[in-house]
Amino acid sequence: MAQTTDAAAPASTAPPRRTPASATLRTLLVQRACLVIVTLVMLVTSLVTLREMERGVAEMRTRTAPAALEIGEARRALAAADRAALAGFAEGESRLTGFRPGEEYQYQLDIANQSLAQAAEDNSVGEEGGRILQMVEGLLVSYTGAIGRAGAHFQQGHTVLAASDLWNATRLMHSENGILAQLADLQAKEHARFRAEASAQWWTGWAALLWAGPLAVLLPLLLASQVYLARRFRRVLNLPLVLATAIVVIGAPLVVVHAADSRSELAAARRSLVQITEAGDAAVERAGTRGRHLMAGLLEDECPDGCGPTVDEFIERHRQSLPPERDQDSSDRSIADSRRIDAAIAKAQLSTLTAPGVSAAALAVLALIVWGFHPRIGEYRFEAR
Amino acid sequence: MAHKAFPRSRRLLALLTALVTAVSAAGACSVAADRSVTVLGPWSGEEGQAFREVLDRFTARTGITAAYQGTSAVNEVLRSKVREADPPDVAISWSPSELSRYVRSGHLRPLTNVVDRRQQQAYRRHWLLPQGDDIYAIPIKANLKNLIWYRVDDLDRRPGTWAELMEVGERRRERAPWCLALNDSPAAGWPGTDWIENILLHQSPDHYRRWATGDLKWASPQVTRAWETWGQIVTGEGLVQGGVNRALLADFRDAGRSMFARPPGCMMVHAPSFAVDSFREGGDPGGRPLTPGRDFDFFPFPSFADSGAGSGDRPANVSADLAAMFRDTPEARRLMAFLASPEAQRIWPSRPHSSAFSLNTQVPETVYGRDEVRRRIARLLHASGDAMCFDASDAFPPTMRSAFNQAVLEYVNDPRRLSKLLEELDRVRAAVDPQEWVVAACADDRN
Repeated sequence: MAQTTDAAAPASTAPPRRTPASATLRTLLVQRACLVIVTLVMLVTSLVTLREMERGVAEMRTRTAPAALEIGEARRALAAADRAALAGFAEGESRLTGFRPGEEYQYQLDIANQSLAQAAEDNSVGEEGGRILQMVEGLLVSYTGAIGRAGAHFQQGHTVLAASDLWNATRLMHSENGILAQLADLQAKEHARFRAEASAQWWTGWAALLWAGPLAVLLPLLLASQVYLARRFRRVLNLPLVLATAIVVIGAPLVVVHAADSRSELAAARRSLVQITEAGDAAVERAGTRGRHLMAGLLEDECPDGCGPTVDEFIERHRQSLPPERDQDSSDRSIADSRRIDAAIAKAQLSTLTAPGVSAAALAVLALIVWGFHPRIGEYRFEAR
Repeated sequence: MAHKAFPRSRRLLALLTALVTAVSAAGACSVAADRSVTVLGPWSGEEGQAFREVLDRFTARTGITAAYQGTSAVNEVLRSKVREADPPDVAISWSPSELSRYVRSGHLRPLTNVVDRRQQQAYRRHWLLPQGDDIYAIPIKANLKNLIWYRVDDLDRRPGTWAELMEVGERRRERAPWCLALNDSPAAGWPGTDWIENILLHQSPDHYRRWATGDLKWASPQVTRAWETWGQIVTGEGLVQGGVNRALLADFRDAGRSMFARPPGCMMVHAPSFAVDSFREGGDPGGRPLTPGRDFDFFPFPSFADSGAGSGDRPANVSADLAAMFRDTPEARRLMAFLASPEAQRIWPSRPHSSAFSLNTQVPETVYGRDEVRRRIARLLHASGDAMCFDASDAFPPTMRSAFNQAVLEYVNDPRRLSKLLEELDRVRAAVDPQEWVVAACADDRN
């Protein structure tokens, strides 16, 4: 059995004559120092890596994912608002509402404004995101102004001016560089950020090297020390070093498994985010198709002899009959979506015990190393006197 | 092993010292290499690419990198950045009034000692946004807005006066002479504001100057007359292709396309100099590219000299993209000096099929290639008359600009409302902070 307390007779543990005692002492001191230093490095790098991992997941949970969802919700609500306004004016509802675009329009617009304000707070793509949101804000002012003027013009009986206002509003909302396209661009950037954050976790690049490097040095060092002590002092095993090795050998895979779980949860969260976004895109497309169909009808009424290639092509493309409208999208679904994603990312967060656990394990390894070398070093110090 | 520890420590120390030295040197190098300037501008896509070429030449000349951000909402983004105390080093805006506001608020840095005197003299001083003894902007490119385009085989003689122009219209009334399209989201109406600006500028440059700087009422006889003069076209029976509805709903980019239809839908269109590019690219209905000078051409906005109005000068209505410096750094200074130079000014206009023009008089006509149409536009931009003015809409404060755009649409829809519309415009004018108006709109304005 291993010698642990080492009250053994100096005769049995005396160094061979061919090696000076001071040289063995130095070897022991160097070995211990190396093990202590590498363990400390491992502790620091593990904590740094874990903290970075936590920070990354927290960023995804509190900023990137909410921003992507809020932008999606703003897009859906804006497309719905546009459709509601056009429906109100085209189908005569606005006469009953004093030529205002209607309650549904206002309701959806309020949702969109709240979502955009929240997206601005959560924005995780930096200056580019801020710039897009500022542009959208400016375009929305123009859009709501055009819708307001359309109501006033309908009320005054200036239907062609009203159609012109709505045509401007439609283009602001749906054109290639319009509000919805800008928001789709920003949403894609948030998704890319989420993807990058999720894939940058734990086992990639410098993080892996930072964590695994000291571990790859520590294990061989522990084994080499064990072999050296066994040969030099004719002990089968040094128990403290065996325990230290066991902690490292068992602890490291545990952390790896935990991190892999986290990574897989993040992948699941990302899949959910993509599904929700695709559903949102479909809702935007449905509302947009309906809105453009209504706009084409209004333009056709005002342009019996054509209004130039741009308008004529728009009428041609969007005047076809449409399938009946499907369910209205509600903000309840968006709340559920947010909760779903939040719960998925929450699962990816490391246990609160992980960092203290790693610290405790590393400190235990340190203590065991010091303990393992202590009797041998003590003997040689004594002998050197 | 241990007896070598001491020398090894020394080696380690030496290695560490070398490492620290190397890192410091690399840091110093990276600081030295980190010479950059941030630029915010209105161009993206093809135009953004053209401007990047200018910046690339600057980097090649100076080693300073330029980080360019292009957005069509440049004024809004700039306002937000200034509000957050994070302006770019250099910003480019098409609105002199927007930049004048930053001069007054102290955000813009004067360029008087940044741009070489000789370079300054290559521009009419008025284009440099002068305030007192200082200048605050460099025009990057310009558009001439007092042009009327026509199909070459559809017009035998270019009208020189308004009366002649009306006569051409009357002769061709059976086939609408005028193409007119006012829609352009989000600024529908601006093609009409160009008409009114040009009429007033050509009828009375002095009144245009006062009007553009907020010093003349909309309901004044001169401005009213300008609207009514335009009314001769837009309210004339059969003079505008497709009538009022088409004019209000058609996209301004489509305006000139009808000229090349078979049979042509109209024969003339009032459009800025950038139309040369859209006509060329748009081609005829068969997809054949059109050649300036052979298929289409322009004549300058006619004078009112024969009707007793106007000075007989050749005024110019110009929109320009102006670069201004928000941060006084050595890199920003170098960039502004470079942008003012003939070398920088000729890059964009000399690109194939470019519709950009320079206001720098040292840029030779040869940069416009063999395209005689573009060369003639350049000559008009560099004419020596005093009535070289900024587009009034660009010079107006934003609220006034929007109201003007809207009033144009309302007027086309119902010209009988003119006096009411002008009263409403005067109410907007009265509500605008006097500080928001530009000090000078034309070349000979005192500043």
